[in-house]
Formats: sequence, structure tokens, C-alpha cells
Amino acid sequence: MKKETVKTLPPQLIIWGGLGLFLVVILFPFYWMVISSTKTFGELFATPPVLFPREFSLNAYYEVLFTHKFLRYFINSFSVSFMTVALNVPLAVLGAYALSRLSFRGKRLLSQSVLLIYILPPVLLVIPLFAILSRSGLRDSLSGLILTYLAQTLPVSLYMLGNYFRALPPDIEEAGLMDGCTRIQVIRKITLPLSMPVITSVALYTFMIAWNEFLFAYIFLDSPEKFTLSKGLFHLFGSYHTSWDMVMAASVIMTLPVIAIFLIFERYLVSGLITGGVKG
Amino acid sequence: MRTFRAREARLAYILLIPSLMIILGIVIFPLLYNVWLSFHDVTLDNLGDQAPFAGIGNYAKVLGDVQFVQSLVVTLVYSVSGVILSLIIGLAAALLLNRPFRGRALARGIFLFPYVAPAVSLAFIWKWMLNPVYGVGNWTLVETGIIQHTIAWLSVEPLALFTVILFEGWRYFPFDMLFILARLQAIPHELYEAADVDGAGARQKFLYITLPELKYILAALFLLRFIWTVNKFDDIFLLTGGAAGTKVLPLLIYDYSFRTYDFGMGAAISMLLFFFLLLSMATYVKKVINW
Repeated sequence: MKKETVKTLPPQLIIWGGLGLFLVVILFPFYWMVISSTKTFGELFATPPVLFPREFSLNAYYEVLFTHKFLRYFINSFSVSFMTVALNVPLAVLGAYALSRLSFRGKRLLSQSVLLIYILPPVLLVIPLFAILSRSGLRDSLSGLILTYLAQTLPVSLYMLGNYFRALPPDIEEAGLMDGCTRIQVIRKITLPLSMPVITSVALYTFMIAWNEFLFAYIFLDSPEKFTLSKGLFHLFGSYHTSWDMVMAASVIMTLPVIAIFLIFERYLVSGLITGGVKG
Repeated sequence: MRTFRAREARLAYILLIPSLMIILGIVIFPLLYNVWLSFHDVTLDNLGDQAPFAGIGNYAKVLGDVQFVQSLVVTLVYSVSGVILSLIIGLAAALLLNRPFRGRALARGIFLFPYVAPAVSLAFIWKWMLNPVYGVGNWTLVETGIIQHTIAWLSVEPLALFTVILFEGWRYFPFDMLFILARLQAIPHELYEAADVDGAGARQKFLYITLPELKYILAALFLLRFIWTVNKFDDIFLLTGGAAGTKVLPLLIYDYSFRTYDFGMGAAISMLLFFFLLLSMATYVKKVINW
């Protein structure tokens, strides 16, 4: 034991130094985003860069929210993500219950093929979906986007919930059936209350995936009044790429809700990530 | 008893139908339709009408295209290096968070920020920090003497590829970290206590206990992240737009489909990408992991 401490740096120092380095490398970009969004023009483009701004301005937020319609995009992003969750969770609960508790032909094949979505390139799907949604008039619409996100997230939700249901002791449910409950009553009165933690994490993940999604929103949406935040932010950068205060303000508007949700519900999200391996 | 089973099965189908309809309609049918597209000459004009049959024309064109081969090489370099980098950073982060200290839960939460924040915001923050004229990243590197002049990190070949790999490592290490951390905490303490008795040092304990215990999770993470990185579109598209030697296959597919509107070609390359993934997955599982 003694040899070791003589030869190397004290372990405490390595640990705290390492943690410090990680925190700086992770947090500095977020810090830079926030302070850039509130800088005045002079400090934004100053050399050397201003690390601790003295002036403070919310002008970029005002411009972005009202002149560049980010209030609209925010509402669109929220509606799309909310609707995706509202449809995903009940459908996934019912489907996952069938996959984990009921016996029927084709169950194994179905449970496995649902995971195909994990390896399917999104860019492969975007081509045929562009054609299909264009023909059915759903392409440049929020409903088309919700359907797409639903299909992207359902397999993962089915998988996460299915695993959780399988781990629940079946005795309680059987007792319920013996007492004359129907399956639907059993799901509602026994399975659901026992599964609230995993349902919470499925709901939060679905929300975050829909909120952050870029590719489909970028390809499908044409009309500015239908843009989600990711399409809107890309569009803003395309037209005002030198207005870094506005680009950063819009980035803050898009990032803040996700980070807030994440910090509040961290417990659910971390366990959900490990059981579901959410795609990213 | 039979009627009970039949009833159960019927209920199962009813419960599954809504999910299956959506997955069939928005995943399986499009996948099959994509196969059809890849054998036809489809442009924006005849999208939805009868497009002329092209036979294997699209595939022949792709395989004879220098761009495709270059893009495949870039994809492999980007994915393999990006995945390995994120695994190394993830391992380091997991080792740091493995022993209890005050504020560990908060630190773990903060470590996950790059993974949960939206790609569009993160890419634009990086672009702003790496801006050749006003970027704080360039300024810091010049001031500390690491580089002599400011550099256009995202528009010079081959530096751009290096930068997007760095971004990949920074953004996705938290995912690896979580799984490695979960595995680390499951290693029995007795192993380390026995090593202490035998007088093993920290490095020996890491090499002979920790790493072997992590072997399977590292191999599985490599495969999973490799697949997702090969399929990744957003990050590179947002950072470089595919310029300066960063045109990975998903961006090439995008170019064919949505810049020149040659949907047949786009579909053909995406089918090849998908088969390439299935093939490398099968080989990896058989040869490397021996599952």
C-alpha cells in the first residue's frame, strides 16, 4: 500500500481534478450559450472574448420570440411533443401488456421485430415517408409529424414497458382475475398503479425525443407557421447566421425546457435510459 | 380452458392493433416502399405517378460512383473513431463517478447534459465557439499557445472530420458512462479485497479485475453506438453540412434525395447502408463477441 502512494499522484487529487475538468468541458458551452444570448453587440464580438459580461440585454429574446415567431414554434413543438406522449403512452401500455402477459401466436416474432427500429436508418425512412405523406396531404402538417414520432417511439416504449410488466409478480393479477375482474380492469386497477415510475420515464423520454427531433421536421415542414423549434432554429441560422445573439437566444429557448425536465425527473430518466437504451 | 385461451389471444390482438397499425404504416410499409423506389427512376415530377422501372440501374450507378466509396470510408472513420472516443471518455467519467462523494448525483446529472440537449442547439453553440474570427475556443487555444493562428475547424479538410469526431465523443459519452457505471457498481467488492490482500496496486486492479468485468458491456456498447453513429444525420449536417470531407452516407443519401431529387438513387444507397449495417452486425456478433 505504501509504495503506491509514493509513486503516483494522490488519488484524491486525480479524482477532483478529473471531475473539475469534466464539469468545465461540459458546462462551458452551455454557459457560453446563455451569456452570448444576453450580450450587447459590442461585447458579443469583442476581442478578446468577454467571459463575464458587464452589460445585459434581453433584446435578442424579444426579437426571436416576437419578430421571428419563436413563440409560435415553441407552441408547435410543445403541441407535437405533448400529443406524441398522449398517444404513445396508452397505446404502449396496452400493447406491452399483451406482449408480456397474454399468450398468442406470433408473440415472439412480434416482440423481436419491434426492435428493428433500433437499427433502421432514419434517413432511409425519410425518403418513402416524404412520398407517402406528400400523397396523402399530411407532409407539411403537425399531424404527419406526430404520426412519424409515434412510430419512432412506440417500439422503444413497448420494449421498456414490456420488460417492466414481465418483472411484476403475476400473483396479484391472478388474484384479481380470480375475484372476477376482467383483464382490462386488472390493467387499470393493478398493473397501472404498480407501473407509474416506468410510465413516467416512458412519457418523459417520448417528450424529449419529439422535442429534440430534427431530421423529419426539417424535411417535412414547409410553412413557417408550422415549424417546430428545431426547424425554426435551423431556419433562423440560415437567414441570420451572423446574429449570434439571436441564434443563441433561440438555442436557450429550445434547450432550457429539456434541461429543466431532466433535472427535475433525473431519477426516472436515468433508470429509463438504462432499461430502454433510448436511441440517440 | 380452450375458450379462455382463445379469449386471451383475441384480447391480445385487440390491444396490439393500434400500435401495430402505426408501426406497419409508418415503418414497415415505408421500408418496403423504399425497396420499390430503389428499383425505379423516381424524381419530384413522377413521385406518386408511375415512375419508370430502372432494374438494378440505381445500384449499378451507386457502386460505380467514386463519391459512394469515399463516403463509405468517411462513414467508417467517423463512426469507429467517434464510438471509441466516446467509450474512452465514458469509461473515464464512470470511473470518476464510481465512488461515493457529496454531490455525486448532481454531477452525474450534469454529465448527461450533452446527451439530452437538442442537437440543433449544441451544434450551433459549437459553431459559435469555433468561429474563426470571434470564437472563444480559437481565442483560448491561441492565447495558451496551443495553436498559433485561429483555425477554421469546421471547413478545412481533414480537420473538419476530426472536429465532428470530437463532437461525437463529447455528446455521446454520457450514454456509455451510464451503462459502464451500472456495470462497475455490480462488480463484487470481494474481488478488490482479495487483490488488496495479494498486494495488487491500483493499476493492476484496473487491468486484471475492472477491465475484464467490463468486457461485455464495452463490446455491446460499441456495437449499439456504431449502428447509431453510422445512421446519424443531424450532427454532421448541422456542423458542416457535409463539406470539407465529412460527407457520411446519410448525408450523401440526403443530397441525392433532397438536393437533386433523385429519390431512386437515395433509396438505393439507403438500402445498401441498411444491408451494410445488418452484415457488420452479424459479423461482429459472431466473430468479435462470440455470442
